[in-house]
Amino acid sequence: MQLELATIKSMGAELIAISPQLPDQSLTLQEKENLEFHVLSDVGNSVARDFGLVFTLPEALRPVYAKFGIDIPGANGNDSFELPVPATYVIDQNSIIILDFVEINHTLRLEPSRIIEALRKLSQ
Amino acid sequence: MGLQDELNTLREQSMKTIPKETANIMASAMEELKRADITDLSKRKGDLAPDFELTDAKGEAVSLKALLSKGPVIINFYRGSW
Repeated sequence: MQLELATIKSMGAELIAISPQLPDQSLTLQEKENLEFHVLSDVGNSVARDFGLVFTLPEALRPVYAKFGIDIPGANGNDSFELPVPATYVIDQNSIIILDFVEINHTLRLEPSRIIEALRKLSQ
Repeated sequence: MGLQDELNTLREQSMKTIPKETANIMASAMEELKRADITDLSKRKGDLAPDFELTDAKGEAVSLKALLSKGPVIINFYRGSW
């Protein structure tokens, strides 16, 4: 992914990552200094809501996550158990979404090559 | 090997360490979420991206509009770093 990030940047694009986590929870100080992209804190999921991505974690899954040591209310600063559907968008300079990948199954991800392909089309 | 292939390998490895009962709960919850049509109203290709301003890890304000004035933007929504 590091290689693709360099390609994306060389094409004049910026990458931002958005989660509902409280800012001080997302990264260590060292990581903050080394970031090559923006990590944004969307507490309460207000931006995710604007993108139509918010869901509530099913009750059955909450003890499972807790058992894995994942404290969602602690990380997000509220006990709503609301999370964004994992999603990736490529947005052109007119604010139009030119590529979307919205997938409730968090183990599926957009191939970085498709992002690069979309950016290449923009610059043609 | 693509990113998804790597992730699939990781998922298979981690699922081996998870008790069957837990794996079943996770699978049925995933099916429940898929049926719930959560993504019906999600922004898609061709839609206008809503503008926003959020704080980054260093406490600085970042707005989509300001970034777009310089070039295209890739946004990745993720559930958390856990």
